[in-house]
Amino acid sequence: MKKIILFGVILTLFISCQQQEKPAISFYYWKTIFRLSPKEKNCLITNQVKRLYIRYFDVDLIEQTQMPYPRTPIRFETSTANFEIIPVVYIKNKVMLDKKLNVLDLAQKTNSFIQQINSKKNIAIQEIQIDCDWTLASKDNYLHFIEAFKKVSKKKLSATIRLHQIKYFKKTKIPNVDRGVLMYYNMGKIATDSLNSIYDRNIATRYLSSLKNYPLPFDIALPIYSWGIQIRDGKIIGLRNKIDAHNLKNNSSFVLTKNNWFTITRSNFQDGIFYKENDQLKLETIAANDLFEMANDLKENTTQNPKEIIFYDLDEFNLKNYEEGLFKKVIDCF
Amino acid sequence: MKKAFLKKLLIAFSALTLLVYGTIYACSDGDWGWSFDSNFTPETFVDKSYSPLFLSTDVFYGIGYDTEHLTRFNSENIKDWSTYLEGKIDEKDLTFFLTDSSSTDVADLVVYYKKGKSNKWTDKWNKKIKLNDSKIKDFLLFLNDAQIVETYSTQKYDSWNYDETVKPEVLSDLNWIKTLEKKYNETKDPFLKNRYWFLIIKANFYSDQQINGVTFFNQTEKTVPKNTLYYRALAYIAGIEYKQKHFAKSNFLYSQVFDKCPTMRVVSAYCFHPQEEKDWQQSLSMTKIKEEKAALWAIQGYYNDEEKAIAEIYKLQPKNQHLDYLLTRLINNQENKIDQSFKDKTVLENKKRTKDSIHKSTINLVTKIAESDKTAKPYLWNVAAGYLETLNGNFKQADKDFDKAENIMPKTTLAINQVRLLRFVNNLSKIDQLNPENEKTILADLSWLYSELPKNAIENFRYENATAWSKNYLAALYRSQKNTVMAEIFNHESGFYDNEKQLLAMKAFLSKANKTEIEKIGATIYEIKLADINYFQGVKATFQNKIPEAIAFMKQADGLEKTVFYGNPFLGNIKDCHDCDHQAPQKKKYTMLDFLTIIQKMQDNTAKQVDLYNNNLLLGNAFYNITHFGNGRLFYEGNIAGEGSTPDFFRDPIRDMITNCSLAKTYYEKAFMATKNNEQKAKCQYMIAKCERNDFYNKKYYSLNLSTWDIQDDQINFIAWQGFKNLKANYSKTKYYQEIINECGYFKTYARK
Repeated sequence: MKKIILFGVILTLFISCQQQEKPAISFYYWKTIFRLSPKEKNCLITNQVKRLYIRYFDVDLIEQTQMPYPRTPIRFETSTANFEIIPVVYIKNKVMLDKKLNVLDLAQKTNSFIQQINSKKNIAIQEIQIDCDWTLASKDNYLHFIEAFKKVSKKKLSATIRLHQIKYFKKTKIPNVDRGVLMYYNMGKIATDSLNSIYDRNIATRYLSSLKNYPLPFDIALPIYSWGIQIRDGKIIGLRNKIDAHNLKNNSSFVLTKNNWFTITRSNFQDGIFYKENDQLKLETIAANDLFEMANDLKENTTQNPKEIIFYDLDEFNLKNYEEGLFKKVIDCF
Repeated sequence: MKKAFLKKLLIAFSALTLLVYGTIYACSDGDWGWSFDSNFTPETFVDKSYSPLFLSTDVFYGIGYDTEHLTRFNSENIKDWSTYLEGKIDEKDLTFFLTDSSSTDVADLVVYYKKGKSNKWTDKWNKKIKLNDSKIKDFLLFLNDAQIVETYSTQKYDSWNYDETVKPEVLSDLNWIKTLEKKYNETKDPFLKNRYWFLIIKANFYSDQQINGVTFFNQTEKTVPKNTLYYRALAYIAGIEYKQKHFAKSNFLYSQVFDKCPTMRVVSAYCFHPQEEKDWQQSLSMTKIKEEKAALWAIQGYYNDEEKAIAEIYKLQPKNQHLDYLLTRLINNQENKIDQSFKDKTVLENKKRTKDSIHKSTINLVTKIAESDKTAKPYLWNVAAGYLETLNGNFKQADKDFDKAENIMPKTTLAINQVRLLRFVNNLSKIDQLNPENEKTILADLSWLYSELPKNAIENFRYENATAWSKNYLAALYRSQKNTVMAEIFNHESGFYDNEKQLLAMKAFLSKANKTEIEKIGATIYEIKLADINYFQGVKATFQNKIPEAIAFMKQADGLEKTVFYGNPFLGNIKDCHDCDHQAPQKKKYTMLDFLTIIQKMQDNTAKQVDLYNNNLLLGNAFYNITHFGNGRLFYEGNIAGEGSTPDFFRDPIRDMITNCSLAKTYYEKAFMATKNNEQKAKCQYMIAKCERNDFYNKKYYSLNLSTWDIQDDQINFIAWQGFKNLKANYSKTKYYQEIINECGYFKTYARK
């Protein structure tokens, strides 16, 4: 009898797993020139990627006039055919902090700028994603902006959502978009401690239980990027993108002192950055196991599977840290 | 919106921009970096042309970022042309031609020169200048060419127009550049020839064949005078080399511009950017003379390692002037490493911590150079060495260094004050235990620092850090000498007055007549006055219901007792809404002292059993209104208690005092005992319920210091207080009960349950 019950339980679990559709694999493309390398192309093909989230431009403030403007708009050197493109606009929170911001004007300009890029490159879009780390102080402008942008663009909208915005959604409110994308990274403080600011399970667990209560359906963005934190005299002096640990290990000016920490033994220039003797470089990376851990935790704490897992970000430099087929394995956890 | 489009920068730094973008984006407005805890004013001895390069949290010190892309050479251009034209065009018109929107005038005048036909512009200008003068003609012809190049170099674009943002226009008519070369070759006048030479390189820089600029430069360079135009051209060549990814060459050229053209120091420092170590080494190997090598180290030191740069330059050329600015950065950087907070540290611990945070190699290098007397400004090195010795604990040596500096330095106001400040820091640092003898060594400087300097600002002089530091230092000394009053005087602790003994000690100190000199200085700068303490005592006595005592304290509050309540403090409404009470019409306004006097009168009445209901009810209202929940918060706010809109703004004892409604409740209960009808009873029960409600908030949230977010997230949304239960059970037929139902949704919810 016990065996029958056990079998029944397993069968139910199996059936319920079967009923949940696996999420699709997508990527963010966050560089200013859209140019896919053969490896990046290959990654998109082998993972049957259909949707690409391309950062079109940032909205920042002109220093002198404090007026919003589109910063570093994307330039296309590779065709985007074969992919559904979702333009992503990153709006700096300081733009939304301006109490006198003309929200409608910004919505119209942002939409027009996206249209200009699309018509130039013959890109047809169904959806636009807005990325903004809004705060309580900028909440009102941001929510109004989303309302206005929805009307102006007449497109499906999605918005990135940070963990704290999910936990405290009653306070931070929910932008009126069709779906959210939970940014499951940038969790911690960029600091000289031993923690990883990109992903820290201890921090994540403080928020995980809130996911089920979030009223907006959301997909999930997972990190595959890494960076280095350059430290001088105990103070952070900058973040260094695309640091190759392998290269550092082969460079006699960098000595590995503990896991992912290097000490600079001789002043030198590397990739345009000056590393001074006695500086330290702390690498923050995401291992394959981290991705599995994230996927399992998220699976356990969400009622519905996300439709998509979007990896941040598509770059040959990031891809080389992971074995081929890893992204599919991560998706299989859902 | 139009935005100046600086193609030069775009071209020169496209790679840099990407990288910076990546970094800044990742930082997402993070605010780490250096702050300025400085006693060392870099402006004191260093030439002005270096000031943007002083240590700063911005890209450039003082200016934030470079804003002079279009105007940097305006005045020099006007001066040069004015000399050439021998005053044939007055300065106003020349300024118009060279820096204003003159291109239509110039183009039409050029048509006149070419076709000989007069037009409306010739009529206009003929009245002011002799158009047929050969120098004027040459000027205008040149200006027309220069303005054509300017259409490319100063392009403006609509940042919300995608096409314009991604496609800056470049000069593609290479034949036109050839015509410039022809003019250059044919021109005999050296001034004009020099201008055309520069214009050709500039035109090539903004063309689609930049490399032609390098060829032309290489062919002609030797014949050209080494003036500003030469270094401006050299900067364009450096930009082209950067674009060609010839980083070593580019950086080498920028270093030469940095060295020889002070006006372009900001530009060249910004553009200098080695990619890999080998670029830097190659740049070094390109130098032929010591001066060139020193220039490379000087520009590299701006971004990176001042100490190494100073050591290298000193070896090459001890009198090199770039050493000055690098030294100020080195000292400012050392200062920034010091934790000056004192926290719970003694002065000895703090001095050790300071000493440990200064690089020994820095001290060794600076003292070695200072001792050598080989630099161009030895006094600068003596001052810097003296300061480092102070930080390193060698106070006697510091004195010697300052003496040496003072003997030879130029006696500018800034220099005199700078040395005085550093001597003061040194003198105070010598003191481990205060006594009447060593106090004398700092008294004059303390008055100067705390009282004189704030009144007589000296441009750029950094003295505020010494002010804050010395107060902390003195407080730490007094703390270790168990003099709590003087420790508080120099470092105010918010909780000091919560200790009655300390409060009385401070009152005695502030009141005493025979203060020592240092006590006088302390009393002058101390932010809390005797009146504040008396007022605070008055408030505390009120909350303790010791009204006669409170009145006595208030009368010594030096006018603070005359502060007027915004609303009527005897009101007791259904709704706690202080804004409504403040805006309500008020026949009489009450001062703090009026308030207490009336309380006293009512208490006298209750003692005599006069009108017990009304007197007790009003006393309840009065004590209710001066709590956090009432309309008279102004009563408890002050320099000592603090101020704020929520209880968590206040320290624990004050928070407990101002959120406690039990005194008010006692009076409401007394009033209830004296009621004569159900209306009165209903009112008292409701007032008691308000106190119960407040007590719930105190225990549940305020006393636990919970954040607003935690409070918001709490699921509790309804509680029936005893007062509510009594009201519903016994007084639901009263008029007052209906009023409550109408005004208080909370109660309505309960009543309808």
